[in-house]
Amino acid sequence: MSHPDYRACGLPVRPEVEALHAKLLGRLTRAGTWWTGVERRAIAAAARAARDCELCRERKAALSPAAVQGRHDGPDELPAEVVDVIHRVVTDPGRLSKSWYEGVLEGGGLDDAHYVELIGVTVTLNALDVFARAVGVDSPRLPEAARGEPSRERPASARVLGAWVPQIPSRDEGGDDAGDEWRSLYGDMPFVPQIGRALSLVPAEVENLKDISEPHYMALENVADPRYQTPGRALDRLQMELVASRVSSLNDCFY
Amino acid sequence: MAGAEAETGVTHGAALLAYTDAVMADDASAIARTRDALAAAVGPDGVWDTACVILMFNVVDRVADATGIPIDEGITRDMRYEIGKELGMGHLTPEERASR
Repeated sequence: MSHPDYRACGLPVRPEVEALHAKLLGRLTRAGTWWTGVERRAIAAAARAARDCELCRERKAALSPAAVQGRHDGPDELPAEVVDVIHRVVTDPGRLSKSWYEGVLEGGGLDDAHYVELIGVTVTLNALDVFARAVGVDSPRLPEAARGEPSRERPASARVLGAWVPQIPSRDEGGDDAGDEWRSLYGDMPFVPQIGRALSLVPAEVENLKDISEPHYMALENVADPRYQTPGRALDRLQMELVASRVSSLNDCFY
Repeated sequence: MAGAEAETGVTHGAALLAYTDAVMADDASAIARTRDALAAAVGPDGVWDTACVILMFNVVDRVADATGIPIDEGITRDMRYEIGKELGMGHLTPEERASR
C-alpha cells in the first residue's frame, strides 16, 4: 500500500495523522527543490534499506565509523557517496560531525542545497517507518515517482549563521534583504527554535517539518511555552517531554 | 509513586520509557509487549500519541545532528537537555559535540 492504513494496528487512528502520512509519502516521490521525483524516491528507498545494512551495523559497533570501509546494502540507484550520507544519517546520526559534513561537500557528490533536501527526505521516510513499527503495521509502500522538474530556487538571503548549513536569517540577523524570505516561512512568530530553521536553505523542507510537528508534537510556535498542552492529546506535556528526551538520548542527540 | 515513576517523576513513566526503548531497539516482540502494557496504563490513545512523539523526535534528532544547529538557549535546553541530564539520560553536551 502507498497510502498508510493503520486500521490493523488496533489503536484509535487519528485521521489527521494518517492523512498527513499519505501526504508525506506522496511528497517523497515528487520533484522537490533540487532533486527529481525519481531521485527523491531513490533517497527514500536507500533510507529504508539502511536499517538492515550490514556495513552500517559494523560501523555502529566500531570505535569510529571511518574505521570500517565497504559497500552499503540496498538499492544502488544513487552514487555511493550519496548513499553513504543517507545511511549515516539513519543509522549513526549521533556521530555526524562538522568535519564529516565538510568532507561530504568537498567530495563533490553533493552541494549544500542538495544535502539539506536529502536530509529532509531521509528523515521523513525513516520516521514513517519508525512509526509503522511502533504501532505494529508494515511500512507503507513508496508510491511510484512522479514526473516533474525541481524548482531549483535558492533563498537569496541564506548564509551560514551558526549551523553547518546555510540558513535564512531572521530580520535581526540578516538586515534589510532578509525580511521577505523569513516572513514567508515564519510569519510573525516571535521565536523560532533552531530546529525550525535548520532546513531553511530549502524552504519546502521547513514546510514539511512544520506539517509533521503539529499533529505529532505541537506547532513550532508553541514549543517555547513549557505550559503549552496540545489539545486533545492523551499524554500531558511532561510525558511527551520524557519520551522526547529518551528518544534523543538513544539517538545520541544533543537537541 | 514507586519504581521508575518515582525515578522519573512522570505518571506512567516506566511504561512510556519501556515502549520507547523497544521501538528504538526495533525489537518486535518487546514492542508488542510494552505496547500492551502502555495501553493498560495510558489507554490506546496514549499509545498512539507516544508513537507520534517518537516519530517526531526521530525527525528532530536527525535534522539537528545532520545540520549542526546550535542548541537553543532557554526552553529547549531546560526541557530536554537539562531534564534528560537529571534523569541520567546522558545527552551529549554542545561542548562535547563541537569538539568532534
